[in-house]
Amino acid sequence: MALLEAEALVKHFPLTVGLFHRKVGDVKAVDGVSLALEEGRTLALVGETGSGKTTLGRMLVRLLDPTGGRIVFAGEEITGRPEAALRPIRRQLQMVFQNPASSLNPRRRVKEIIEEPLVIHHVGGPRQRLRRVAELLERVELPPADFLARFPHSLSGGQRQRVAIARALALHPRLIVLDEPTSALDVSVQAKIIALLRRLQQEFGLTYLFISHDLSLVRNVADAVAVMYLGKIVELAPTETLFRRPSHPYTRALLSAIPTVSDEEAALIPEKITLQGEIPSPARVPAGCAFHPRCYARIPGCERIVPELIPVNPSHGVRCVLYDPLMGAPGLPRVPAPGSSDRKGPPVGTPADAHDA
Amino acid sequence: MSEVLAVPGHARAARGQEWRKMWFRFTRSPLSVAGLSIVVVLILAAVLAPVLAPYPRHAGVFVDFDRGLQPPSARNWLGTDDAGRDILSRIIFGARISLTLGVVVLAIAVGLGVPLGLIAGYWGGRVGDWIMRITDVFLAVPPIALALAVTAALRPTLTNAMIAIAFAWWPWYTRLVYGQVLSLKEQQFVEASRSLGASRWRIAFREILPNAWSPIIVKLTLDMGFVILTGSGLSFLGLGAQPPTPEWGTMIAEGRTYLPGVWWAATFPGLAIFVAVLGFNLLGDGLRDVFDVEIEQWRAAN
Amino acid sequence: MASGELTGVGRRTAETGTEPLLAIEDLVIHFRLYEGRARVINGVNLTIGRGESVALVGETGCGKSVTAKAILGLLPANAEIVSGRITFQGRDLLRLPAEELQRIRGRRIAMIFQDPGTALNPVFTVGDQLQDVAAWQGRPRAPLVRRGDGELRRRCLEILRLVRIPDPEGTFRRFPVELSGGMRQRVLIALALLGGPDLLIADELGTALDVSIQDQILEELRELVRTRGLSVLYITHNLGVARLVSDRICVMYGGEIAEVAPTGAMFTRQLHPYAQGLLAAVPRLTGGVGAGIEGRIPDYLNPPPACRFAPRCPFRMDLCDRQRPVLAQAEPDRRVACHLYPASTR
Repeated sequence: MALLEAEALVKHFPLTVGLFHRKVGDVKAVDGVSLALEEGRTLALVGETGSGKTTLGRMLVRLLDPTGGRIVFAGEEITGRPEAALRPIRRQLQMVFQNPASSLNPRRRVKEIIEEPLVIHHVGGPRQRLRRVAELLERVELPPADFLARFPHSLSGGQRQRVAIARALALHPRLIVLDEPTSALDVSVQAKIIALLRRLQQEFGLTYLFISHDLSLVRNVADAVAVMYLGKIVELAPTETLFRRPSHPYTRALLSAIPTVSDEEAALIPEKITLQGEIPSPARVPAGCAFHPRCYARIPGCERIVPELIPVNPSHGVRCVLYDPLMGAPGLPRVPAPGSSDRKGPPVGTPADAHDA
Repeated sequence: MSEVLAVPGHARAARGQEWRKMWFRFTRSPLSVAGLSIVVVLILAAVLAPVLAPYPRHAGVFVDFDRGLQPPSARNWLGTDDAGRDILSRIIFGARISLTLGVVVLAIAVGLGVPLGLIAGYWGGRVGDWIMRITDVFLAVPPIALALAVTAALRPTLTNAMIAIAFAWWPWYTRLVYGQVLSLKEQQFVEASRSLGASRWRIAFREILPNAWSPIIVKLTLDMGFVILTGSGLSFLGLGAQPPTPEWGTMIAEGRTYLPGVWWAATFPGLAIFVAVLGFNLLGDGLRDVFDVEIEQWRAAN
Repeated sequence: MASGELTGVGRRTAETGTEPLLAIEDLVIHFRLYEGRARVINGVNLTIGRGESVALVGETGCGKSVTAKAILGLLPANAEIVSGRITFQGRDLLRLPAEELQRIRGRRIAMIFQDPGTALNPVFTVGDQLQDVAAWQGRPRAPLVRRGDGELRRRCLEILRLVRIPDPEGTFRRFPVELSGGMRQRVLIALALLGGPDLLIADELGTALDVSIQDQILEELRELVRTRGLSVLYITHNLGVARLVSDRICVMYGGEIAEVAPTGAMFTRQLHPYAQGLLAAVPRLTGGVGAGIEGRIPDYLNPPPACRFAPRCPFRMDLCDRQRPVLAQAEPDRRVACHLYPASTR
């Protein structure tokens, strides 16, 4: 069963002008996204500015309320629940933010930052909390003796992010949404944080939603990838498949645009694709297929037809008219079951009893 | 450069180090140190008045008309007023009154203004709008005029003067905090707390407020001077402290009629006000310079 | 897409005897901080030939931005240039009087700034800002009131066309906030090109942009640089970008140059352990990412006595803590500062 399912999620922000906030349009940040996350796996959301990946991530942890659609977590619907009823769910759904410097309160010490979730949810007394904080610091490889009393400004970027991860782990979550967790870090530090995240996933059977703009990173972190453009998923596939057989024109262009460090990588997309033009604003999404103004594979009709996400394979969906002469999508592809992706080694064990202490 | 400094050293993390660093920066400016010294002297004068004043009883009800209006001498360093009371002693006791006035007024202003600003800023919406509109109304009236109106309505006493001035002062804090909260509320650590399930009250008071203190403290310090000035102004007009209370403004009012011949009765209390306001201003400026650097560094790191 | 295509004019480097356009020799810069003296730049050697594109690659805190600012004389007040020379077209920039430096800055050497969001003044139109720079041109004082000069305007529009801005007239009238990130970056490039410089310094170009836009801009800049025979110093932490745009790569660590090599050679094989670790840590599109590098950047207040990478180096020897390795030629066309190579041990 999928741990988290999103059905036709929509988030529109109203565009208003004037003194009386007259509505003139919508910023279609997320415009009909459906996906499913299997427990213990990592799904990556990839996209550029305006793709909606950040908004989607925030909706899934209920920092934002969807304008439409449903979110189902562990079988229960969590859309539309009032704040009080959401409390118990929040313990299981955590988030690690992009900028480690600003996601930690600069006036608080590391100990207070990490124990905050415990305090908010009234878990344990002061002694137990201290023990738990020390334990969490060790899990993220920061010796408690050195780090408990420190302030964020005296920590390096990598250390701050470790503190943020420790905070996210405090309540034994099942799902963690990671919003660009390493994009503010140097590449040598990034590698260590990724290794840490992988280790933690194995140890605790965590499920990750990994939001990133960095496809090379995603290649090494995710079991499945959803590529987003202007609020919609344009391609969804297991990692190996996406990188071996990228199908959507946008995916191919993205892969081609990445400055690579080796010739083997450059060979993935032999023809160099340079997209023209700017990314349109989500307030003015082009008619028909949102990508058509910049698409090099455009055919007449793309400016009128809004393509559906079509499965070219049971687990590989592409939102492009080129892959389906007919209209109508038979079904939605899901993140694959264990075994179909060879990125990681042995599959993760049963997650349910991986939590302890 | 923050990466450079983020490197090891448990000592560097200690709060004590932070204070020392701020002190070092503070002491680089001689004017700031002068301000601090003046304020310290004032506080000492206020606290130790009975010990420091040469003629403590002159601060209360006391008359000795034989010694009235004596110029400054070895016996009375600042001379005596028309009732024969030693001006120096009265000024020292006046420090007590002025500082008490300042502290009480600002305590009320902060106690009222800061939470209102916090609520208006963080909750926003209609509540926020209403709070800010009421604040705007109060801000539109000049503080002295407002204080005058209030004391005129009530009986003129020192206590009522304090209430009146506090009434005029709280909106400035609301507006200051409101602006701070608006920008702080977008910070990621606030979002992080929300995602953890923190209640709005917790976020407002435990996450945002601690980060907003610096400008509040600077403003408090600068305001002390102005509150004292306003209080003295009210007393001078007869609407605040009444004789024989040794309030500086009252003393000026009493000594005014003897100018310019007997200059000491009005001038020294006036100088006291001047020095007090100057001291708090210099201290406040010094604090702001120190805090600003901190804020800049934090911003640069982000 | 091999970077070798970029060469053409001025492929020769200092190694083969042509006089370099810019030569930094043994630059040492310290910063006076409250905590003490931070010995940030510890003897940097770098040359850029005519028409050559050099990438200065390093992570946060390695000193690459400080080096760039030193070239332009833009260091903060608490920076102290202890020793070294920066020779540009035969003159030592560090010893030039302020007026002379003013004439070079913006005209002979121009910087393309990092963040298009904040590098442009939001209250002036693009046209105003371009014309201001065009009118100033290195004079000690800029005219307070700009002459309504058609010639100036024409030049600015010309430059906007050069950087492929689709609607130069319209953009001229707009404020920076009305433009997209990519457009703003192009305006920044235009500003740098206005003076007709010989050397461009690009500070983390494209880092703040989406990858598809960054790709566009880097390609266009490469083309511009090639046709005009400009020299460029690219400062970046992104190895992929360095590979795309440069002829030669200098890897920097802890305020020193660790390795210098032609781009192709650098990616095939790295000599310095830091360069090896760095490249290995880059995640690959084809799968695979290295382990990262243990440890942290050196404490500049109290740096390691000899080799600054030694505490983190998997090949550390006793010698590395006693004697500082010199940046020396280990192979034809490649220099490295590491005791694993005998040339560095002098």
